[in-house]
Amino acid sequence: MTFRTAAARAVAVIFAVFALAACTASPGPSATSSATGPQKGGTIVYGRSAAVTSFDLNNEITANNAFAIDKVFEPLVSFDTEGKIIPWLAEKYTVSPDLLTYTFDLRPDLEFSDGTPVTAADARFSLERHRKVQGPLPLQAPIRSIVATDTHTLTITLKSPYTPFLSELSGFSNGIFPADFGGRTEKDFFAKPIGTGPWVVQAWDPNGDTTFTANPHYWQEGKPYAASLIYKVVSDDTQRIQQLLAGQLAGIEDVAPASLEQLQGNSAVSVAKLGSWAVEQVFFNTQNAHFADRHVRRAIAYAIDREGITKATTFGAAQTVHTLIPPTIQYSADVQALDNDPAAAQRELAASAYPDGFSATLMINSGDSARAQEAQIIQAALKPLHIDVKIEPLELNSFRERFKAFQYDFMINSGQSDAPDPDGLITFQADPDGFSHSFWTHYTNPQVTKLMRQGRTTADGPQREQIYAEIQQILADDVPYIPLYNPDNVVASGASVHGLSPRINGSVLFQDVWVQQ
Amino acid sequence: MTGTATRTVPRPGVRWLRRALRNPTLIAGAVIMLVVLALAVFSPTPYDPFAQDLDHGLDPPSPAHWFGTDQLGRDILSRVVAATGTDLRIAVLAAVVPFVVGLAVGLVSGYAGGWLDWIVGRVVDTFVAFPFYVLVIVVVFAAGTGERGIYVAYALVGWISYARVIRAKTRSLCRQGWVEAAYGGGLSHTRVVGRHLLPNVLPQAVVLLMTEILLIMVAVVTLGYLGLGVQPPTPDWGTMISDGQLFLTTKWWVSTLPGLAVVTTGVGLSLLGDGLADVWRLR
Repeated sequence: MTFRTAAARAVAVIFAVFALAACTASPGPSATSSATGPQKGGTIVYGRSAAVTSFDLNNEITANNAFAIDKVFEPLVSFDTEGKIIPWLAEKYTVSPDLLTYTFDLRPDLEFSDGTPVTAADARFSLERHRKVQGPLPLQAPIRSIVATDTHTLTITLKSPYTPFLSELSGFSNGIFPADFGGRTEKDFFAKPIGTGPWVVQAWDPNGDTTFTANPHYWQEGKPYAASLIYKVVSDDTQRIQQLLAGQLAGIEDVAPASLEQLQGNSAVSVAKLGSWAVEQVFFNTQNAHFADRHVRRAIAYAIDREGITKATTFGAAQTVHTLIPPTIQYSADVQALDNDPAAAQRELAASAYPDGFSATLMINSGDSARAQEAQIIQAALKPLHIDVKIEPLELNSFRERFKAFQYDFMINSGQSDAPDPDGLITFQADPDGFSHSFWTHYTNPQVTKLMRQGRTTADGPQREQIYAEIQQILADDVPYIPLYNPDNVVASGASVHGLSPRINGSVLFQDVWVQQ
Repeated sequence: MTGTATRTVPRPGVRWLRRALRNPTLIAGAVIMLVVLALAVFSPTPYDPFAQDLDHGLDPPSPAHWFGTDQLGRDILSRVVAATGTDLRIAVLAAVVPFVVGLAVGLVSGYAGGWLDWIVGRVVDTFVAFPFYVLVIVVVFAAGTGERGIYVAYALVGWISYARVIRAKTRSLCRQGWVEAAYGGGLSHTRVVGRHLLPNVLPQAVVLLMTEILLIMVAVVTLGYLGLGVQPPTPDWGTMISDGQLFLTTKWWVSTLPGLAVVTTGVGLSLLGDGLADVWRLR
């Protein structure tokens, strides 16, 4: 009879729902005893939340691309775990006393992954191309000239002192590639890129997985340890963890804080949690009539309980912040912020053009479990102000398309620095004429822009600190965005994988990771 | 004139009731569904199901919170009870249009036969060939997430199962002499279908309705789990199960207790449908 089978089907569906949820509990890979020293060979399958869409280092910004680009291309200088500048492709560098001339000595015997030697002319070509392209993370420094003094020496002269210059150069977008793209067209080159990095792109699907093989010409002797690295796209938080536990993935990025307790209690999994350069924030589209009103933004800042949000959604893997410059970056200031004061929120809204409230849509990317909860907290917090919030979760690509086109009211997103100097974040989030138009808020404040320029030319010290403190206080008062917390970078790996831990920018140096055979 | 018959034959309704009271399946189903319905209608929530308490997130079940609290410190028992109303209301409302449409299509095509029946048959075959959830998810994407999407999706695809069953039943009834007799006796087509065929196929349709409500409820929960159904903060069993899956092993109550609510309601509806089929002797 029809209803018999229908009933059976219904029961089956119920159990399927449970089975879906129960997958989290499936046993992980068995723990193996650790051998002595790193082993060569093997494949690292790394679960990531989004696909690599482009290797054009000068034109990209998002983590999905940045952390693939930095496997292939490397900059002249880099930064250590504390964010201190260290030599990288340049064996050493010197700065003239007038702070205008920078001389970089390339490592001898440096080769691209196709075996051709790296010369100062390649470095010059790469940086000149970046100057021409501009892109989302442009070289802002007032460069007068870039000269290849000899095969291994590059001299960069500035028109005026520029304090964040080395920090700027350490970003992934200033990686070095062959002059004239090795005789190929740009399009062809970035489809099958050649760099000095530890990994070579073998196969790449812009909508899916990326496979890298070890660069046999890599300058760090004996590295990378593993023979290949696969970036596998698993966009859902929970799915990534399940696949790690099932042994289908060797490691995963963006571990959902809610699952930390479960993973830390599992002996087959190791979790690495380190400080980051990111700040989770609520961003307002200041071109939207409601959010153009400063009082409305201030009211919302007062209405939100940042401590509560941090506590409820990050499970100890983040620190509450009140400024967009995280404590891991120089000159993060102790600002007077509007925070968790419902009465003041009412007063601010009463002073706005919308004292009786309004309706607005809060945009988030789907698949991010913490953000879904944050959105509900904000929705509830704005209810007493009669701001009726509809939550709109969107798939990551449409989410990005929408905010880049300014088609949103307000959203939850994350600001993330790519280099250790505060100028990068301030430029990206407060420069209305920059690539991101103040992180797609279109926030414009001439005073901030003026201070931002001063910050670039003032030498490190108390005076520069004062400039950034002032910028941060203005932003805290104007509220183009509400910084919520500074999350830790959390990655997890299976028992057979060793040395998997995030850098401060969230990327992983896979050349140091090895697989137990 | 009434005779002095020694044994009166009970009226059909009374006979039906006697059979019903002797049927444990039906009684169990009815009791469960009465309780669920009472919860849905009166919604006796101990706390405000929307009230957050960020300092008391993920508290285990305790005398204060029988089902514990969720990540945002909301009382899970209150949300489970409030979700009963949401999910059951959506399931029942979404079942109405398919029931009416499916019944009408089945009756007409079964009674009329011929080319009309052929066309309906092919349309039904086409819909059946699609995986059910794929179809629903496509419709929800087009019509928008939330309740409206679910109603539209079911109005579009839900009538198929009724149409198939009722058409077959009507066809077999039409071959029986009394239908031809009714028509031959001068009754109009409308009257034959409405007064004679409909009462005979209705029990079948009602039994099917119970199963369909169950299926829709599970679909609502599944869509909620996938993020396409009821949108937060409205309580819904599916989103509650989905919210808890990240800590299923460490905070079991967040997913498990809403899950038990789905199972209980599902079992109740199944038993009710089964029991009705027994009592109406549809097997």
